[in-house]
Amino acid sequence: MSIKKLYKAVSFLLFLIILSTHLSGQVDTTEINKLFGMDLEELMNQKVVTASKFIQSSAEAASSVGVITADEIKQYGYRSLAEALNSQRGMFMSNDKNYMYVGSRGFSRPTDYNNRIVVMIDGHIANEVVYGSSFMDNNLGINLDNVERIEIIRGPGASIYGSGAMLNIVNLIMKKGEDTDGLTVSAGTGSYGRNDLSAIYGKKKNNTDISVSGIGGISRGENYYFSELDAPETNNGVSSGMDWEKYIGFQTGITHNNLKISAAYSSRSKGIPTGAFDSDLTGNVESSDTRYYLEASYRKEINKNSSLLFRSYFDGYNYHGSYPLNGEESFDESDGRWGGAEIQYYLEAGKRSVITAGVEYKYIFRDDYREWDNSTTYFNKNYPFSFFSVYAQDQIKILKNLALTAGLRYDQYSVYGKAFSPRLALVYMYSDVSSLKLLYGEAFRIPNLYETYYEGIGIHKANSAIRPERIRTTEFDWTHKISGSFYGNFSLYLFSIYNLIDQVLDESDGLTTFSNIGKATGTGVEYELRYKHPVSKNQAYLSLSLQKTVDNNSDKTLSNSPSLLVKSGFVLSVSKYINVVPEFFYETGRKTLQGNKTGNVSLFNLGINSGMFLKHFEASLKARNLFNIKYYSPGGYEHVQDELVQDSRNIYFKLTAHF
Amino acid sequence: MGKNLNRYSPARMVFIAILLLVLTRPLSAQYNENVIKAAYIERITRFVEWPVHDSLLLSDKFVIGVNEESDFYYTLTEIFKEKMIKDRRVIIIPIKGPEQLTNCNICYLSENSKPLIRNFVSAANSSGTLLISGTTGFGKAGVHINFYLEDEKLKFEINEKSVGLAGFKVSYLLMQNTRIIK
Repeated sequence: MSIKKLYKAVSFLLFLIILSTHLSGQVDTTEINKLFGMDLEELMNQKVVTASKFIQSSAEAASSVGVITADEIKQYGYRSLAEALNSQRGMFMSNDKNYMYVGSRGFSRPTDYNNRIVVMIDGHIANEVVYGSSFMDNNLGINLDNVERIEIIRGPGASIYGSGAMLNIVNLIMKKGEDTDGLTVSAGTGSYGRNDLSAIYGKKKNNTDISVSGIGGISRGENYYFSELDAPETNNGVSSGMDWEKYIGFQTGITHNNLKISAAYSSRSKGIPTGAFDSDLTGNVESSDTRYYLEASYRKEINKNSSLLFRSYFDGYNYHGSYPLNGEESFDESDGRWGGAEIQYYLEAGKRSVITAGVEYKYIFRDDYREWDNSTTYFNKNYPFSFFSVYAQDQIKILKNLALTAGLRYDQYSVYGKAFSPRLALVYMYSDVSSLKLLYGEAFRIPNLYETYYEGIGIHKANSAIRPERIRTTEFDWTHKISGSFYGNFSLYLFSIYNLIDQVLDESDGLTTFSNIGKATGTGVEYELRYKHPVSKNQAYLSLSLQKTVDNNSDKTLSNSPSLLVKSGFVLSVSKYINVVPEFFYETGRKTLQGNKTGNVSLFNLGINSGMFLKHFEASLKARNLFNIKYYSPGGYEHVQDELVQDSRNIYFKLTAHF
Repeated sequence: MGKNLNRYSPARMVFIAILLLVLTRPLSAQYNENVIKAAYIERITRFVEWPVHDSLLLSDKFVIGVNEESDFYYTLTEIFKEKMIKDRRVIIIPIKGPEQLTNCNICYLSENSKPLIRNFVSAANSSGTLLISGTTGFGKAGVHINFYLEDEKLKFEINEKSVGLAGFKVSYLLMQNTRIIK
């Protein structure tokens, strides 16, 4: 797309947003009548959805923040965390048909398993410890209908959350039982044999709140032809029936007064249709990931201004891979099991200072990797480790509208030594919903077991000298109200990653290894507009991100890094009964590992959401990639293909019943 | 692959869309803050007696002023197209300054009126205009009724002294349900 065409497209999207602000939308008089029929006491018990609530907290936060609300998840029909995050400025997706990857601000290393993003479920870190990966798709096992909101914190967050919080922290805040107050059951069906079922049950009785949700599904997936693999030994490049998936997930939260027990379990198996890791294009080529945790937390109120939080958890992870080569079976597997405890102290010291401080200890007693075939075990080692952390953060009100936040975390690892992660934020609020922020933060990521110790005979060698990578980010953020229900966000940032860990080929012996390849720098500017009609369902967003991420060794753009992203979505209440939801995404091509470039992409989605019918039911229909555009993302080191084709047009229908 | 696309042919999709249109009824409400405030305002008027010197009492219109053409102005205009207060047609007008309060039975003050809050309170107490707001500190500053959020629920506080000075009579039933500022 030329600059002229892009200018026209953005102008058109802007026009659509402005138009939607001038359309009154269809106001739901039935519900207004219901409210006007309530007495005072009933009115006082209605939960309020505040249009500016999240804008206000985003403006106040000592970070660059994004929020995806439950209403947005429902209206835009987000089916996975990756899809929801893809609506955010500066974020982009890749799908290698095994895992879904989310990049941020021009940075996404192929096959990094999202290990520079921390994903949390109600504050519990969902990343596993063996590879540090976070799950963005059905492998997360979370029913998004039970998510109250998704909070996205951009930039380093290691000063509170430790290793891995380099690019983003994504926290899924789950609904309370009180919010659900009953049973919700959904069934969905879609293209390529996709069928799923999900359920949520929630209730509050006396001081006990219970929320349980589950999701499960299967899909057949697409068929592919890979010209790069067009040889008799690789089924002439035809991959048929290999893209299947099956998954299941449960999550629960039980709160009684200040005590909370939460638990989650997810398990997903996915066929790998791409011939990754030299595997066949036929037979049992798959990966399976199972993840679970149990956490108990108790908040002790010391007095009106201070409290102590005690938290203890046990987590587990299992990965199993099957990669047959020429019909000969070959497997790998990992197990991770860890437990930990944290004590956090919270103090409002007068009117000017809020202090958060804590200590955490985590022991990873199982951190292993095994690789074998029917005759030989090639690798089988366990590398347990532990770490101790202490952190503190003080938010000081220098003036009435000016706050300084200073935070520092110290981590002492049994294996990788120590790490300091500082953070500074200066926030000037010039109205309830508008602020100027100057942000600085540092974070680190320790290399994982695979990056440090893995040895594959004749393919890959270990690098025990590998060091943690670090990121340093400086950002200017302007969150502002434009008029009425129109909000804007401008962001200008610069980050540098030192000791970046990447896979390289050692030409002296022809073996790949993970190494600290040096420094990468990212710069960018983002602007986002959001609109929400005060009464009707009409809402819209439009964002533009210009980003450049450079490998400082070669002064060349990093691979898998689009330089321009345009995103927009509209919820148009066309009648009292139907919302129409068009979305448009544009991104420039990304450099591949072989130095080529994927093409620019323009994608359209279209959704139709119904109102409630027959008292209990709602329905939605969504066509992703409506015009069936063929587009690509760079392949990873494990692929022969330089580019991997992304999802074709797929249509999904969902019916939901509330009881 | 072709078989799948046939399953989701345009004709089938149009059929599903029509089915949805026929079967559905309005979307269940998200009670946004502004809509609840509008309902509250209507409900509150049932528990308040305006001072006798309010010349607007004899009019066939009930006038609500909003001191900024904001979301709330739009919400009230939209909702009170079809709703009455005290059996009178409701007119929503934009207000620019305290001098315009004589034209209103109720005036909703946005946060922007902060610099003029004393002038608004004083003008309202003389003209018999019920001042309502939703900004922290406005209740203490003399606004008669001020909304606030508690546990994601909308509550309100009444400045008893200011209400008395303006000559409003507020029913005990309303006072019972609120936070009183003495």
